[in-house]
Amino acid sequence: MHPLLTDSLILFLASFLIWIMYFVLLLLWLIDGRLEKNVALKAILASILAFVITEMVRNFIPTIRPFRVNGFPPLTVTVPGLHSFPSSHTAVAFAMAITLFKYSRKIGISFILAAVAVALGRIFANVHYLSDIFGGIFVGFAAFYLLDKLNILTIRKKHSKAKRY
Amino acid sequence: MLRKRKKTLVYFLTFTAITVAFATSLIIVSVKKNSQPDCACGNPNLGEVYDANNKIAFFEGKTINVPEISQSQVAASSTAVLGESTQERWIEIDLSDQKLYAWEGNSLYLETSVSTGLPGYDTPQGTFYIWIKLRSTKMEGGLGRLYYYLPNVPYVMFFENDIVPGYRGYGLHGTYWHNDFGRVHSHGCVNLPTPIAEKLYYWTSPVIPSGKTWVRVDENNPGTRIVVHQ
Repeated sequence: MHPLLTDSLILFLASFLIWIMYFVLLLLWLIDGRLEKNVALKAILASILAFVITEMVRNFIPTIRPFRVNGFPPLTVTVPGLHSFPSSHTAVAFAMAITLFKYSRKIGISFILAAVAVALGRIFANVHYLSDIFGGIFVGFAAFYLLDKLNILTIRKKHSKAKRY
Repeated sequence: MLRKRKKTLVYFLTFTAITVAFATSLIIVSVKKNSQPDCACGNPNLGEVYDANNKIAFFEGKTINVPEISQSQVAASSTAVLGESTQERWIEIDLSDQKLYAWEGNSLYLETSVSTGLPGYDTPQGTFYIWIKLRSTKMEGGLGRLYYYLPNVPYVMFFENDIVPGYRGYGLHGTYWHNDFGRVHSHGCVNLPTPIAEKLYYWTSPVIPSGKTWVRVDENNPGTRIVVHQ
């Protein structure tokens, strides 16, 4: 593939895909109606919580971003800040995707695939290490779990067979 | 029916968003490539790279055999010694004459023809200081027909100042891929004949510590001044 296309693809995954995920989430809620309001709001709230957690962790565990160490410029729209652990893009994308996965397998799996693509984009754009990605996935799970335990915006599973407990 | 139309609308809007975002990515990448040209001589590594097995270089669409660098320590009589209290050694590069002069105070140590940056890849002018010296390194850059891949470039002295930081990759180095000295031929670096580059490598500061083949500047081991002018 032409290097210009490869670079564009990396920049697209690293910087734009996460906004497309939000956009599709809004479409599925407001136009399509496949997502209930509670689910959409919960997914957005989980992603915001994930972002807040990553910012807090970054202050406690300062790690220098790869592009400041290895000398190759970052391939993102804006040059991100100093610290890299954990990846906020990954955390936000996974928090959203996991929340949706709990509601609907079908929608959830496509969002999880998109979240994986975001994570790969962040690595190839030279702004994150693989360890940041795993940290981000963990924070994404944590944000989903915390919000789920809070019992607000309760969601019921779509198309799920009745479970007996 | 309405359900189906809504579904189509969602697919259409998603597709449009992805297309627009990807097109924007293409534009941003192209703009970045143009506004910040590739590093003059590849990204300077902060360590030495020498691969004796790497025999093939690629420059201007031609393959070139990579010569070996003698791996023995040079015992040049002109080697700079740390703390030596002689007159200042500095290097003058005249772009219009394509000449390099190495001065020790007012006396000339050596004079040589060089090749500096081609039009569009101009060697920056001003006063610089050497910040890292590598006996050999790999240089790679350019796109398409201008792609070059040059392993084991010998005797590399990267220089920098406040305006042109080190990561831009401008430097002096030996040359095995052309013999066109006296005319512009480089992507921004100053190409020297390899024997001259070797002499300068051991003549300039920062001084190479014994037992090492490369060095980075520090407070006690500052870099030689380099003046580039028209």
